[in-house]
Amino acid sequence: MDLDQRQLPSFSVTQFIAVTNQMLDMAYPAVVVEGEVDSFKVNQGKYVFFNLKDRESSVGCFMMLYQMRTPLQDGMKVVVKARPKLTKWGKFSLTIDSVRPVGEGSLRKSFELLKAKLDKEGLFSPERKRLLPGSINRVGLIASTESAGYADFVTIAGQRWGGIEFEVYHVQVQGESSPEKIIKAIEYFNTREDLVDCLVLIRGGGSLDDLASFNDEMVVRAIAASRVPTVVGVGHETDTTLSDMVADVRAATPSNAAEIITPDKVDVRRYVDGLVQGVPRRIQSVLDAKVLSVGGLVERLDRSVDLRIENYKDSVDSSTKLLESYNPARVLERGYSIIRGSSSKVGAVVELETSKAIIKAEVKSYEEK
Amino acid sequence: MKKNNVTLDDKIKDLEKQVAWFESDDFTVEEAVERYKSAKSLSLSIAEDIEELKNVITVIKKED
Repeated sequence: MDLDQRQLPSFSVTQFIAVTNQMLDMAYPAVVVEGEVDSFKVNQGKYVFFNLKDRESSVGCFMMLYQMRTPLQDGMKVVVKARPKLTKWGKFSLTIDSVRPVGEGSLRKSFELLKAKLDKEGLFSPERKRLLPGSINRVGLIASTESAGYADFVTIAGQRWGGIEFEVYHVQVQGESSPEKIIKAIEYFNTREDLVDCLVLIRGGGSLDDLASFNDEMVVRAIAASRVPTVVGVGHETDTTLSDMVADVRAATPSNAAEIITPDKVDVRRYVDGLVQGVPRRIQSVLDAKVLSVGGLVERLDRSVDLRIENYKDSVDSSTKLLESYNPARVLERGYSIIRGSSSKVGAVVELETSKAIIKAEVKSYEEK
Repeated sequence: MKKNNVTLDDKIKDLEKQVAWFESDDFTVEEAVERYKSAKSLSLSIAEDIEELKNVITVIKKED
């Protein structure tokens, strides 16, 4: 053995690989590498392999399928957090801990792929949407308390209504660890015995990368699985994240989320005032109806009395005519006369009254009929 | 606050019931004035409650 060989470290293959991995672990316990996905494949439904490349170089990557929080495709630009490793077959690769798309194009592509996947599973189906409770008294709010979106939400809620208890779970709403924290917050509100009436998830506007946590598959699934009805208001009006789509109610913005869960005290006051204002009109309407009704009765009474009087008059007229017909003067006018005195004795003097004269006459003869 | 909101909800339901009496067959002119005064008083009480209620915001957890 020459002098050079005595000074060089000497290993078996296995030892060499082990030592190399130890050194890599010490020097680079974790690295972040950016590149383009190439030759992506999934083996046995759980092992993910792809190359990460740039213009000049390429390195193999490995991860488990469950770690892939966002769909990947060849050509997508990604950033991986990984541990460099030499496999026992001497192949250098990166063992991926996390991967995320970067750049508008890759983020958009990843979004569309995941949206299609979850849509196929029915997560966005309208039939899954639950109604919010009619009266909301306790709200679980997941947000960054340092954000403008949170401040807007609190302000709008306070202006519109009072008496609601907001339990705020402060989380980071962007960054690598944000999805896990959001999921933890959702699980916190879902595993308590005393559930809140609804869960609100909000975040202000930002780029597609800023909103990436709300397009994370596990965050979306956690929202879908929530026992508590969910309201999600992320970004500006034109932003729609997958979390927005899976929520029971989508709010356009954090401010809109506050409007959705609170009644407007102005509207409530107007409704209450309206209820009472209608009452005097109702009383007046009943009184008017009663006056009309009484008037009608009086009219009927008048007509009834008039009719009776008419009937009585007719009756009196008839009786008067009948009585008149029995008047002796009327009989005399018909040519009859009244005899006074004993008319049955011959030679007696009797008095005859006609309609026009009184005659004295002597009875000449008398015969009974 | 939940208690306050429940009370407010109950008051509004009570007011709706009181106003419904005026449209019902039980309406009588003799009772109308007193019942109207009662409904009016309740509506004013509700308005007061609405103005006095404030939201309570508690940060229960912080995950930075």
